[in-house]
Amino acid sequence: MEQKKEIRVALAGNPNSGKTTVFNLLTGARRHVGNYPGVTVEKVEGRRDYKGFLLRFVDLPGTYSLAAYSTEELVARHFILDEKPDVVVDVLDASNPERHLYLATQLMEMRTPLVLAFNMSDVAQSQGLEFDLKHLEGLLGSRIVPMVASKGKGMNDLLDAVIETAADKTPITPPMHYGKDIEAELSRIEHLLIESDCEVSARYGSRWVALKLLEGDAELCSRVKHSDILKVVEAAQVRLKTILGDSADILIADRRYGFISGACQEAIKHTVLARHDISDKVDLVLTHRWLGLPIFGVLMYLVFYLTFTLGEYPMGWLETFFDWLGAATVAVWPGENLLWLQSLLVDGVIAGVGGVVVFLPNILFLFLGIAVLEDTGYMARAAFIMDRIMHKIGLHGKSFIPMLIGFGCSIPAIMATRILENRRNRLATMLVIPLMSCGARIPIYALLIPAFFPPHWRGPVMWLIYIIGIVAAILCINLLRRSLLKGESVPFVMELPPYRMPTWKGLSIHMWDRGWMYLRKAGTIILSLSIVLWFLMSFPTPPEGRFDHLTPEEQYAAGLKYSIAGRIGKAMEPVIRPMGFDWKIGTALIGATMAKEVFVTQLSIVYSLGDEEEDEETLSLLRQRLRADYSSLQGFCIMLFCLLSTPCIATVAITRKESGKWRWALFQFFGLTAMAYVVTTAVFQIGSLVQSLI
Amino acid sequence: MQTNKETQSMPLIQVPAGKTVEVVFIDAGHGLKNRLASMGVLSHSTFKVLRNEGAGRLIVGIKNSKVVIGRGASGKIFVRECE
Ligand SMILES: Nc1nc2c(ncn2[C@@H]2O[C@H](COP(=O)(O)OP(=O)(O)O)[C@@H](O)[C@H]2O)c(=O)[nH]1
Repeated sequence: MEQKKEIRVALAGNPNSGKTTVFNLLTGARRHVGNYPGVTVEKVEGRRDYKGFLLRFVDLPGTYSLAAYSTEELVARHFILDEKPDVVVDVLDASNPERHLYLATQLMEMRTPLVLAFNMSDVAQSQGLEFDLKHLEGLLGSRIVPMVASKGKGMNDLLDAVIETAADKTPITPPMHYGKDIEAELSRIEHLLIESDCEVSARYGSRWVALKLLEGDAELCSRVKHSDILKVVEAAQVRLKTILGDSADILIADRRYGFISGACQEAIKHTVLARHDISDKVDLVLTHRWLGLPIFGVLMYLVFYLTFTLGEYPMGWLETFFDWLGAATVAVWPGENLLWLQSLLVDGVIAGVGGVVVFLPNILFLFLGIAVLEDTGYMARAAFIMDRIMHKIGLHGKSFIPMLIGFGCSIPAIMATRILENRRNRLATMLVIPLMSCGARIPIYALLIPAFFPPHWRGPVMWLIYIIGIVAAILCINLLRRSLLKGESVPFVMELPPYRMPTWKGLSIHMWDRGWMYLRKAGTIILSLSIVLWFLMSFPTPPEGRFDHLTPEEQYAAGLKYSIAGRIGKAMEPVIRPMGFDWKIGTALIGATMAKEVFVTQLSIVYSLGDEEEDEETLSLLRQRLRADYSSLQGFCIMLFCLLSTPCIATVAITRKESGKWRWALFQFFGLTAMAYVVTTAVFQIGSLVQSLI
Repeated sequence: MQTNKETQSMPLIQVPAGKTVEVVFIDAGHGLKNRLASMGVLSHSTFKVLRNEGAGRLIVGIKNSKVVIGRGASGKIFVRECE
């Protein structure tokens, strides 16, 4: 069979240019989501057969420039430079060419074969913009394809342009000119680069490297090792500053805009004066000083309602299904053979996988809600509103959204930190999210609060627990931003995109990508960790016949006590005693690392009450036993520890996945546990002291 | 020349909503300057202040788009009012 000719295409573009929509249009269902190596930036790939060619697309992160001041910019730049795609398609918002062409000028500087997709042509037309495309193509030296991606218009034209551009042998991009002073410095540096056989410039082209060096590009300066070249560059920068009165990078940016505005004046006509009245009026309300916040509150409430109320039904079905699957496995098990394997399958694999899958509806609904807020352009407004409060604790406005989601479940919350552009900001938020008391901890409070506190105290205690979590989160963020995650907090500069109608296709793709990623990545890690925990709680099995005189429940409890987990709990006793805990609590806490609500199940097993946690009778019996064994102070300390300590395995797995490094996941795990230990010990010791005094 | 510029200009943070201004100079590091430049905010560019709540956060309209400029940035952009 004939080998199809392959064309590798990279999609670049500003955020909000409709890049994702174009990408989805081009690649349809055949897409693959991954990460760029070593960074948390999402990498989406897809392909398409067209006119005998196999087109392979890579979606580069949306950026405003390629100056390499952010991870996204670096990733995009390196992909173009090092992977050398055959064609780069720059998706831009045709209703705002002057700003969106800025990225295009930087792509032209890289002399990469370029196609300009003038997306949002419908909007441009309604705003009265008329393009002389032939003329503009000549000026910019690239093919231009007008598109309306949300309506599927212009796709074939774009594909044709890509194929034609890939077939062009001579690079058609004309080099930009920066005026005689800058050009003089550029050629001086270029000359030096060629003379000194600089490896970097041989690879990326001497003119481009000279330009970047003159701009003071930190990354390239560190890669060009010759100190004499860097000295010449510095001298050039000083000269330009004295002649032209600004730093070289800004002078060059200024020339780019000059070039763009020249081209636009020649080839674009404004037939009507551009207006965006409606959008302005909406903004007046949505970003209003007093109205903005309540509106945001209502919208977030709706997202939550969607996530945790509607999500509950499919969640219930999935739970029932996995319970049934476990029971069915036991029922069809051939006799008494290989009981350990049965237990592994039922208590380890099925329970473990089930524990992951049941959260899927929540995650899908949540990301649907977030996708709506993002695609309409509202999210940027929300960030603006919340920034007023959030900057006080050293975070951006957008950090508020994941933290709020954290009250439901840490897993979607940590995934939602993707909306934060700044990595330090994102890591800090991710690390403290488990402190937002999640839904799985509610069963613990529901068991312990009535056990230890009289009715009129129950509400306030619950409230106190939540507040402690929030305060701890704020303190931790402050600490992190001052120590490990220090560094310039990038001043808040953000585009407010125009309001747009989202498309169903775009929304559903957003939703599925996240859902699938969650299942695949977190699933594998959670599964293996669940098996480890199962092993800890099942082995070694007590010797045959040793507990025969006991009731089945007591046997169960004795078995757990005999297992590794039970022994660890016992061995931990001296360590956890300062917090007021004994081995029973210790063993239950080990179980709680699997999922917080397992704590309750574990405790009832330890107290030989079986594992029917839902049963109100068992619960009140358990409360009685607890009351007999522990004081209210101890009860409070247990809740405090559960709130502050070890996030569940799924959280650890997802932190590992989203931060890209085990380091951060382990730091979160041990950091939070250490903090919980110190705080709980302090509370217990001081509390005991106070109690003994009164 | 620099001093002359400075006497004529005021930080963006002081500009009330509704005014159109021209950037005189930006007193910031490379990172912020480049980020602003990529949004179209650099010396000589003109834009309209759409909203200024006085807390250092502004919304400006520039080149047919809206940009939020937060505290920390708005104090470093020096502008002159356009007639
Ligand atoms: N009117 C119009 N809207 C579009 C067009 N292309 C995309 N959109 C909408 O613009 C919004 C943002 O698109 P998206 O692809 O997510 O932008 P990205 O941030 O560049 O990836 C979505 O609501 C799209 O439905 C277009 O050509 N015309």
